[in-house]
Amino acid sequence: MVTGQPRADQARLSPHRRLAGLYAVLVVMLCASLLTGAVPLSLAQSLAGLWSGDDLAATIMREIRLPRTLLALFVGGILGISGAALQGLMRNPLADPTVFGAPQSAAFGAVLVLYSGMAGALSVVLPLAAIGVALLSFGVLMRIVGREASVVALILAGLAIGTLAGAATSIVIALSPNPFAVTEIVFWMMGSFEDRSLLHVGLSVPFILAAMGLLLSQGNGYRALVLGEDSATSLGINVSRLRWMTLASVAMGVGAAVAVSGAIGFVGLIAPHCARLLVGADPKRILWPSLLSGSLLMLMADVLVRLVPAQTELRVGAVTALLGVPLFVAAIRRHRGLFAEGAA
Amino acid sequence: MTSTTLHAEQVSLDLGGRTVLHAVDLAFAPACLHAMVGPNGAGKSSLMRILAQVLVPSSGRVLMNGRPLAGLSANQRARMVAYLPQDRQAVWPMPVRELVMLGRMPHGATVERATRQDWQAVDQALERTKVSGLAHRCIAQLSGGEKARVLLARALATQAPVLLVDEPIAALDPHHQWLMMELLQQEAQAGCLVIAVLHDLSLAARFADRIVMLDQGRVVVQGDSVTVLTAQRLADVFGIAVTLEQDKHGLRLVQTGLVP
Repeated sequence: MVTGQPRADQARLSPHRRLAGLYAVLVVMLCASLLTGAVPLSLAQSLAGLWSGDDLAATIMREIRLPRTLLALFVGGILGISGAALQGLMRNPLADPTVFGAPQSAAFGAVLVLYSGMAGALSVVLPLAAIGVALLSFGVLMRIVGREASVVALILAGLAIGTLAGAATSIVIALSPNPFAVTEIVFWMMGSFEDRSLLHVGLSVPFILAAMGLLLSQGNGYRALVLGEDSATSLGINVSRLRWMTLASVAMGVGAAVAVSGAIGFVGLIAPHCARLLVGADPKRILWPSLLSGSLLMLMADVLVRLVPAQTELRVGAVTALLGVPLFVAAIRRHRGLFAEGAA
Repeated sequence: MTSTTLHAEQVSLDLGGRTVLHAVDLAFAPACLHAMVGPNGAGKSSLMRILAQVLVPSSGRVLMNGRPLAGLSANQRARMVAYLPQDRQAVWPMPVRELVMLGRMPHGATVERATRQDWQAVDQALERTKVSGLAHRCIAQLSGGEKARVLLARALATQAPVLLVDEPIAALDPHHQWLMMELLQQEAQAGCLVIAVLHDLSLAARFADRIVMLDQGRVVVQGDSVTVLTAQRLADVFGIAVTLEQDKHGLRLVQTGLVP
């Protein structure tokens, strides 16, 4: 028998080739994101503006399109890998930060800090508050459903937490003296990359990178969990530590992302499914491709909102939800057995 | 490897106010197939989980070769004790050979980083459980009997001196039940200490070197099949009426009814 990496799926393209394709599309979308905007700039102008000069093109590139592109890249990436990690941890293809109410809770945390006047929109307190409340929401979720959580219990509890956080967010904004609060509600609830600066990038990306690194390092744990918690424990995996690490990392990454972009849903659900199409179901192997797929989906959605002619720009969160909900429903239909059995 | 012993020393377990195990004291002889029998709720699975160190007992400890198992690091312990729990699941549709490689995780091996020796252990385990032909298939496509053998291969791939299997033949047809018992017997004969939770008393009598009977969290008796399986005891513990005959195949057990 030959040694090496066998594949269960008899596909024409090797997973390596498909991953290479993913990289290629990602690069194309990065360029598309840098070249798309209200002001028509030529390719040469754009490239030149990115590196040098202080004309209009340079300002547009460096202060509008570059931050926007970088944020979409990192926020999409952390949502994608968070979804993959949570699905691996919960052994459940329906797990996603949004389903558990984490982004909605993070948005509430950020709004609370902004409107209580504790800190400004460009303070590091903002992502910290978002991370804190996201972490708290996971804590509450785990308290509600307990360790041996069934899928139904998890989703229902997540729904309750997400709805509560959304309601709390709108109440805080409504009670604020700021007359522009309504637009802010839309921003936090729907998510957007409009009008972000490199400061926003600096505020969120360190947390996001740290969370990505932590999640990537847990791959063996998710893979061992394929056989259930007892088997994983007997293989030397500390399951409670794995659970804690995953939830804390997801809260940190998603919290930081939401603090600068608002709550953007369903990327964490779609991205791992895309990754599985590319490299198979192995929960460790899908981590990195899920990150890339999340970035790609987010860039695509963000380019799309800029291309659609509308009075006010479409919200990227609305676009990802539009893409994500049908996929979510399809996933539920496909994995109906999970609900019949009840146990996760 | 042939001399590894396991000893549950005064192991008690309380779960939610209910005492599941009462000071269980059991020694498991090396290179034997031990069958653990008892009615539902006797505490068999809990004791197995404690022996595997997946569950921490309320009091007492598990000794391996006289040394506490809890003193080992998670990886060291995982190399010494392979455990196949009762609920056998593989949630993600992974290739069989990669799934079996999980058994090498205690040795620091992963699919991405496995030595020739690790792949040999995996292929050997697949061969022993007679599923080499399925190596590149997806676990989700296998029948119950095939899946059970693949998951046993995962436990065997660790090459641990102790193998704990919880209800390995539940939900298998008679052919595969027999096959599975033969595999476990072979492992024991090769020097492994095998403990299997069994509900089929006839197969336990036929294959096991030693039988331990639990009831209501206590050890009723431990010994060879003739000592343990008596009509009186089966009536007391299981509430069943049986006739027992010794023939050339060993102890024969025929259930004739329930004890009123």
